[in-house]
Amino acid sequence: MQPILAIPIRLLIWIGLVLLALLISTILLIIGQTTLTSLLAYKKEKMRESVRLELLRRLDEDPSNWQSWLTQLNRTERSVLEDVLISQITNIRGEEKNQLQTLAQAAGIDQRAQRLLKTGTRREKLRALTLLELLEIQVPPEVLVRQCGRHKTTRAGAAKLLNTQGYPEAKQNGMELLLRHGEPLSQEGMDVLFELNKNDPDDLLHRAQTAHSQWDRNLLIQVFSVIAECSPTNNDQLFDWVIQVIHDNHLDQQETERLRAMGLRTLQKYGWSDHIRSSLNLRQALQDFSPRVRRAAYELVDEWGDKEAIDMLVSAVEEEENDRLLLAGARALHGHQNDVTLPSSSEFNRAWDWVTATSVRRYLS
Amino acid sequence: MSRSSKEDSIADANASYHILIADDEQSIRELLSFKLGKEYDIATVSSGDACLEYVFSTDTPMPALITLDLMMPGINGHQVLKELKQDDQSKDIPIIMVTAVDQEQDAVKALDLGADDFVRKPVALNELSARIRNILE
Repeated sequence: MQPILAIPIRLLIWIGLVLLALLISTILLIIGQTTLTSLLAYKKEKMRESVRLELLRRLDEDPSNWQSWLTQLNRTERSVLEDVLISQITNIRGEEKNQLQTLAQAAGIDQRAQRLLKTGTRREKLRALTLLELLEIQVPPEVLVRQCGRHKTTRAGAAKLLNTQGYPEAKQNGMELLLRHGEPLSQEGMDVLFELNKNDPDDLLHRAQTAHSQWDRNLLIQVFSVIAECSPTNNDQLFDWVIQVIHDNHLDQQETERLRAMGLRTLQKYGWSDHIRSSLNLRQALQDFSPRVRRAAYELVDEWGDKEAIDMLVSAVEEEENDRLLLAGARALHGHQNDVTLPSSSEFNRAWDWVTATSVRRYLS
Repeated sequence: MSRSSKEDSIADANASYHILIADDEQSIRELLSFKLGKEYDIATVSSGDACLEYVFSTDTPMPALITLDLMMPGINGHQVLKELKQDDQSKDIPIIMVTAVDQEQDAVKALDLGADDFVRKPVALNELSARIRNILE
């Protein structure tokens, strides 16, 4: 028995020692890295003041005089110069901004950015996109599409750069970058998608119409939320597929409730469209099992405000059992109280009184 | 008079004006100091509290004008403006608010509270300089 037990104990001791050595090495490595980073940050901070002063002093000089100074800078000083330039360019416009941009180009920051865009890591590519945007360096759309297509954050950054550079094809290329993988967008991606389409959502509606069945559901919800914020289009037939999505999913359980609710929100600005009003099964939406969808339907009716829709809303609110939604229903009916006979239940009356009181308070404040 | 000598004489005439720049962003303070420092005597602070402390301190000169950032940690620009305009000692100091592009309502509110003018970020230094000249001269 004893020899059999002795071997595992010895083995355990060895394993323990190896683990301990690994742990100590890792700790030493972390301490070393942290110390180095702190030292570098301290060194940069000390350099910042002198670089800043020199930079400002040279702003008034002829750009041809900058080169002699720039060639004297070592690698760390150049990195500090880049940081200082970027923070200043971000905050100003006009003549001084142009001077700083020229200085940044003389320092080769634009070339470094283009190099990082080509061969850098994801983080470096994002930095490069920021630099190129601030320096207003034109990068051909096909280059951005090729070099930034792998990750959603770089795709969003590239689409933003395309948009700010004002290429005629920025909208199509930007949407291609953002939507071609069918994956959910980053927050910046959503912002850019909105910027590209805010004045005219037709292209986005067309693209979504043909591609949405291959998209992740969360992307479709994001696209709906962007469309809901865009200026309305005259081409109301482009919403047929949105209505189809709402109808097709109405029996689904919770997985698609956000989809239906956001789909309804895209229709809020289209009360003028007979086509949309007659295509949507509003009664079905008002009776949806999901409170989230019913709330969106109540708000839709409030926006549309036509007699038929309001009458349907009154019927829906009469049957509403959810207290929060009774409030939402009362709020939706509040602006249309002269057009309808309001529900008479005591629950609704309580909600109505609350909405009236809060409206008065809001008006007085 | 040549252009440079005229500029020099303007700078000399303005050097007596003491301007306080209140902004939490270091690069803005640096740039404004650089630009306005050519014509005026400049001091900078990085928060609303520091701005009030500077104005009401007996150890520092009373500024002839303040550029005041709206969004600062602690006391924001509106609150600072309100306090300055309520105090007899400071109510006549001209104040130029510095606001972000999408803060139209805030700029209107600042004007209602007594600000003399406002500029938007990103700041055009020449524009700010001209507005200051308009107020001080």
